Amino acid sequence: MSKELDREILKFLEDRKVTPTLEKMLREIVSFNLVDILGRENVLKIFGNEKSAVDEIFQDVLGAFWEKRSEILTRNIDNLTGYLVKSVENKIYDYARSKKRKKVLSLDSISDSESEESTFLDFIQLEEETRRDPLEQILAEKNFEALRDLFSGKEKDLCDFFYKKLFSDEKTNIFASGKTVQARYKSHERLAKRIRDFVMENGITEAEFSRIVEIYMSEICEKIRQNR
Amino acid sequence: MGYLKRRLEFYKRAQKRIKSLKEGPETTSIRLGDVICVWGDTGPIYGVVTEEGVVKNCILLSPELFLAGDGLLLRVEHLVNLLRVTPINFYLTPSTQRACEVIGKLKQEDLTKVVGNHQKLREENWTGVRKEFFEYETKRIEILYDMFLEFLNQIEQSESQTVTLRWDELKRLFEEKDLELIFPDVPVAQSSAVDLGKFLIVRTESGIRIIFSDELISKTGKLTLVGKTIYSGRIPPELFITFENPPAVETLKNILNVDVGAERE
Repeated sequence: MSKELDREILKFLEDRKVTPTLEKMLREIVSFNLVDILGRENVLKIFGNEKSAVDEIFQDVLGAFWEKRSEILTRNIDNLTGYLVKSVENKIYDYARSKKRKKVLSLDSISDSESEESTFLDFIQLEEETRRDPLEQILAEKNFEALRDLFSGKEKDLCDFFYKKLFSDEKTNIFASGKTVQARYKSHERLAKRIRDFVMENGITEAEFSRIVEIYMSEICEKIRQNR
Repeated sequence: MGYLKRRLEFYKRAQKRIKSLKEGPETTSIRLGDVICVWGDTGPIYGVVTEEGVVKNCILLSPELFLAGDGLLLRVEHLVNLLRVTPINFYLTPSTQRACEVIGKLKQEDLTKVVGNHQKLREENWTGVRKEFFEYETKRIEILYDMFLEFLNQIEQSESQTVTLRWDELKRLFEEKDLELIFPDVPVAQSSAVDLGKFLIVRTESGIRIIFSDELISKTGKLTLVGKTIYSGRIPPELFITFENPPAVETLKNILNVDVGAERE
């Protein structure tokens, strides 16, 4: 697939033609990554529907490649699939993060002007954190799903563990279910080890873990508590 | 399999190890704070220059925002829009700079933040998938480390290959009549080099270069000037004698000699 895709991208950069093969392949890559990175629910939240999402990323990626065509062609880069996939993924991350529509670059209006490139230097800036990063929230949701699956059937025990760790008031014993102090202590020890393994295996940072726990408590523990 | 683990598997399949760099027609001038794209054969390498010099120290910036941890984000206008600061650094040697494109510049205050963030990330104890990702990234851009090592070897070799002697010190070996031979009053034709087979003599502004033939290099021998030994030991590829006013090569070709297998007089 990648050899064929490489040829199709080159053809686009040389002749400015989006062949049906390129369109099909690129749309498939975009579609797959959209769902994998954002999840269907977030795709709908951000773009309204999946087709619009694919259209926007598709245009955006081809626009970026067109802007860089002279760099690509003079450097004789023939293995372009790696570049393309990276571009698709990153544009999706950017959409997820900004959660706002961006200017769609129409291929018909692309300019060759070099002066446009020089203005890129003015664009660069650090992304300052002013609010909770939607991208981090999406990753936390993905990791929450993994944690939920890992502790399937042990939800009450895990909630008991989190409540005991986090609260010092009467909430502490909500999930204790009449266990003896010793049994509860041992259960918590086993849970702590499994959580530690989960965190280590996935390389999750402290801040990320706090977010996962927050989601777990709101999505699982709160629901159990309300249903009691 | 966890989400990040699966993401890493996709990443490895799409982002192959870089085996060669793709040079442009011109050498790019790269300065402190520049955000660069190094064009590789299978994908880009993004970075920011944090130390200037002949070799430039850079921090690797990753467009893979989930796997690359929780470093600061930089916005760029390129094939990608967002780049994350990583705990990995690399070096740009002069020969790699033709494969670079400057895609932006950080202000000094932002550069300081990025360097601080990079240091913090380096001190973190990365485990599992994130650790594996950073290890994979280091392997993916290994070509830059290899080129850096090659550059260091070249410098080391060029330094060790030349033996330098000072005429101020050597001239004490000679009597007045010898010095008249070396610096005759009669002007001679001033060609800059002469090849004597066993060695080549080149006159430069600051001295005389003696470049030995391949068959002499590394053999034990001695170099004599008007019969006086000025160097003995292993024959280097090149010997340089510093002179304030270097003699003519036409004079030297008659009084300079090399003997192999006769280390000491």
